[in-house]
Amino acid sequence: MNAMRKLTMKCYIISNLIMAALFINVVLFGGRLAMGQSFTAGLATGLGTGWLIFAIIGWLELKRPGRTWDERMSAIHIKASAFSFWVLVLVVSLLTPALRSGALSLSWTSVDVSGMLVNTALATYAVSAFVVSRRL
Amino acid sequence: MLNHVKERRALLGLTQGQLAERAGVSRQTIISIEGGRYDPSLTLALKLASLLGERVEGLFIPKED
Repeated sequence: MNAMRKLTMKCYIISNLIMAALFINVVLFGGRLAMGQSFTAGLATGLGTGWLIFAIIGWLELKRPGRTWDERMSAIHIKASAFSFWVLVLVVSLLTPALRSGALSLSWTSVDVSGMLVNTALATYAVSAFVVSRRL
Repeated sequence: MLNHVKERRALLGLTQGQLAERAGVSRQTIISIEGGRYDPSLTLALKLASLLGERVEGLFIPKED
């Protein structure tokens, strides 16, 4: 619990993003690797459970009186969320005609597209939160 | 928005950390306000004015275009 006392919001967000990316990638792409179905399921369950426990305990710790989730952090979160949302909308709007195009003939499956969109959203949020926090 | 938070804080001999703790915000927020990069909410501006013993309109001055 001492490690949690030193947890900052920045560290919490980055850790969550990393764990989310790990979990989502195992869920989406684990089946394609030669790891065995039960091993993949166990790995995904372990990662998911660990992520959930960290997210809940970390959030409770950060919301504890005396911690500093303040209005500036909220402003950073709102701006980064809005930016990543509009980037995602842009990516989807460009990707939809590209995937339907016969000339491009992209052979992406729905799993590939979902994974790419989730990773784009997570990466955009992380980068924009960092940039906004430097400027604000 | 311009402000005199840094000057008032220094006058009262408070560190950024002490002011942040009393205002219930992070030290980074105080740094950003003093640097003019972040304009606080009305609630926080009133709290800072109260902590620094200054009227809010004296502590925060809107930039004239």
